[in-house]
Amino acid sequence: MHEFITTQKLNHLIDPVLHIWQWQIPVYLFIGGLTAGLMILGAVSVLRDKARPTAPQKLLLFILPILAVGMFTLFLDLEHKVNVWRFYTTFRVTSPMSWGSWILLCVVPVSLLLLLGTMAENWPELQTWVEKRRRFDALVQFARQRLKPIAGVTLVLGFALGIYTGILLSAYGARPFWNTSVLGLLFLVSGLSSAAALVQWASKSEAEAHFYTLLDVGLIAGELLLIGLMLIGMVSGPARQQSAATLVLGGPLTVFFWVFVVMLGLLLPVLLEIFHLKGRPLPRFLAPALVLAGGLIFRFFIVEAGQITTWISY
Amino acid sequence: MSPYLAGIGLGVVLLLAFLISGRGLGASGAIMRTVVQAEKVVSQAHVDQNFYLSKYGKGDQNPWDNWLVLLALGVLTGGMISGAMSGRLRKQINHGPQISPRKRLLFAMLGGALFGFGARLARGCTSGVALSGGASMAAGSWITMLCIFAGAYAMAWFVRRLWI
Repeated sequence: MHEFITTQKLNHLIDPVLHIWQWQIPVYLFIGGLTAGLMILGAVSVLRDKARPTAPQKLLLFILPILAVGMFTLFLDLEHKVNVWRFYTTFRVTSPMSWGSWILLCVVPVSLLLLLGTMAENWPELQTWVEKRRRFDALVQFARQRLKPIAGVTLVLGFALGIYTGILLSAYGARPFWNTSVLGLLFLVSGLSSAAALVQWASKSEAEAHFYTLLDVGLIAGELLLIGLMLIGMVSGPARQQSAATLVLGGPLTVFFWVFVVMLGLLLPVLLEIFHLKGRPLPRFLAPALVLAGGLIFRFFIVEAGQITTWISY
Repeated sequence: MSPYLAGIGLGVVLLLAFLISGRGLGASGAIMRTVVQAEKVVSQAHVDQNFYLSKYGKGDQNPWDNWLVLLALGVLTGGMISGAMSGRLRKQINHGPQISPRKRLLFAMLGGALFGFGARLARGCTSGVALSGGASMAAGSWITMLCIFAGAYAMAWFVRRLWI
């Protein structure tokens, strides 16, 4: 008889397929983080300047389409797709997925209201189109009258969405590489950085692009600091987390992590952004495109690394 | 940057490559491995059956799992950083006054394909033979390098209209 003792419900005797998350989840996590960042930057812009033409406020238009793509990839990952509505029949305070489902549900109307409240200044064509359909009048008036409270709620929801994408992974006790409290904050900062990159790309004003480039330099520096703290926490943690850390400290994902995530995804774009701030002529898309690609690669790395590491050897 | 300083820098990089990785620099290997990777995506069976390709990409073998690939990536990244530092990072196609950008790209592709084919026949390209072989004072490398220069000068006569 082969005796198998485990304290974890996640093992191959209960669930024979443990390495199940493919491209859909990292893409969703990236888009979730990007959406959260766009919500935060858009809301801050409204709170600071009221409704006026700014790049973060313009990008509010794209929040729902971008989020729809992310939620579609999440839907593709579901094994039992017809049961997705069951998420909305309950709320479990201890379940990050339950939190995420409800946060995503709240993001839709709140983002829409913030867009309606700022579209006159940022998307006049949309305003004209909406005005022709009289049935939206009351909604637009409501959004314009309560713009700041709506921006406040958007800000809170943006932070919740950004942090949740990290906690979704860090709550997995059975995955030593994910099981770190830094992950929620790290995903939030990474999402903000992606959003700041998109804003600097979309911005028509040089001063505004300069501000968001500077902001992104700070955010990437924060990301590097948090990655450092995460690794320090792992290396000084229990044996299994130390073993998980070896994945990037000499193990099979070392090259991928240091070359693609750290060097090409963080250090190279931040270097280009610094050159841009110093006035060197650079193609406008280059640094933001690298930041966005880096954010996506980072999610792929984290999802893969977590699924490789485990507390039990079998 | 002064070309003399850049030359010394390249020499230092080569020395460090010998010291750290135990071998010199090369370039065409990365392209060849990328081609194998592309062929794997299209037809793994073809790669498995082909004697040459299977050495690099048989079954689960990852052709990109090699230091030359990272070296090529580093060269591209370093070039980008250098261009950004000196404000030269912009989209442009350098070509002679007599030809169009399209013709320039066509001939560049033709030259590149011939170069890649030759490099595979010779089991390495000019960077391998001139830099790595030359630095280790291999007589064969020096003779090959001189022949390459002689061949290039001879060929330049026939394609001079591309540049002047």
